[in-house]
Amino acid sequence: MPKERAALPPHLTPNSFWEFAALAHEIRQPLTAILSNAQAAWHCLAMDTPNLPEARAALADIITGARRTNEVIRQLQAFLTAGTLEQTCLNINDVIHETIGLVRSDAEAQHVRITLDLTGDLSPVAGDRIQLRQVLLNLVRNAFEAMQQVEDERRTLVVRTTLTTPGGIRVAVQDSGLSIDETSLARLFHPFFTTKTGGMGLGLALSRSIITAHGGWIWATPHPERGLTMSFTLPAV
Amino acid sequence: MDETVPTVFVVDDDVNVRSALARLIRSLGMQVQTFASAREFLGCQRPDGPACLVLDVLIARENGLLVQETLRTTAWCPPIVFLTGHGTVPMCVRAMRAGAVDFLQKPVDDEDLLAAISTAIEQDYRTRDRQRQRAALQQRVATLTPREQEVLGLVTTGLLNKEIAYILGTTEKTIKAHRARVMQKMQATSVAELVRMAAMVEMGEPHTAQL
Repeated sequence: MPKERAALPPHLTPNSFWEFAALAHEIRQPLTAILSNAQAAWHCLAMDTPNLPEARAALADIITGARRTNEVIRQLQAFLTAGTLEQTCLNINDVIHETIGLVRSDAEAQHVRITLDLTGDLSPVAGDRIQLRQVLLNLVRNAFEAMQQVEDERRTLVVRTTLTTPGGIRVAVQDSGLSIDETSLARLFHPFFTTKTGGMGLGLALSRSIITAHGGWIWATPHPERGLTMSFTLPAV
Repeated sequence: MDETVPTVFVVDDDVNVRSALARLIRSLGMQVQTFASAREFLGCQRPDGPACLVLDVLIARENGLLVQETLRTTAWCPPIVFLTGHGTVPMCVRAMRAGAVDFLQKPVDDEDLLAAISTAIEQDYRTRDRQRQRAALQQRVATLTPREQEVLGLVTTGLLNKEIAYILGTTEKTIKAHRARVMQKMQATSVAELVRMAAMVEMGEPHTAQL
């Protein structure tokens, strides 16, 4: 097998055609905005009486567009490099505490009540601390967004850890947000699938890549009434 | 002649693309209205002047090609310039067959966009012109008596006065008089012109005639 192919990250699947088509779209959109704004600015400046306010507004949007393009590439880079792990021996409860610390102020601002239901005597797991924190951040932030449409007093987030046999651990992040339809559920982990207007649809695909690289599983369980539980497992060391 | 500035309608679900295209089109001297979805666009008022639609072929949860089909069944259908971020050849073929003016790849160059928009506006201008002429002719036809309308119908089939008189059970002299009144009311200077006018009145909706 040629060396380049062997070096492909394991989570890149052959059905990547649609994924790359979607990626091309993601990059072309901000490029379209940049090009049109640049040409508009050009025309505005070429007028007999140059339209400076409009040219300035176009330039401001070009800056935004360039940053947006870079963000797409940054996310893609994170997605492509998710296969390489820097593993240490860690307690997942510690990573959960760190993550919750990062989102505490968001939770307060959005009136989300967080309950931690963590099992005390968890076995340590081998994992990449930063990447696992990234997974937890994705799950918690998705949960926050899913709860934006429900009344304040019903916004609760539960993070639970349990032991699994044989000796692995399971982490569950449960929200009380709106329920999710079957079609969306089936495509939840597909790269570039998103139900959010500002999202690129890489968060859960990236999370899946990270958990799979750790030898674990990640899945979603919808609740009939409301809310979704995202769970993942990690094997024992 | 349309006195008003052409209007370009832009439908794209990406707010940044939408505003950038709008700015570009404005800088080229046309007025623009933007919409985040085809549904929003379908609810808007038809402008007084000529117009065209710049439509992303894959707007979120909607399909530009289906929008094109919907538009063709409604009373007002501006010529469409499609933009696409990842359009396929079959998609392009389908759009062009259904009467699209052009099918442009994103990111689009101002010259290409301007050329496509100009063609579309020109096409809409001609359509509107035909519609206006047709409406004027229909008004003239409405001033004809039922008998005169019968005579008009028979004249345009190429029959002679004598034959028309026979069919309608009257004299050639009466038909001659009717015919003179028809020519006068229709403001036609020759039978050939009268025939052309009658054909225009009977013509279907201009946008279906174009396809």
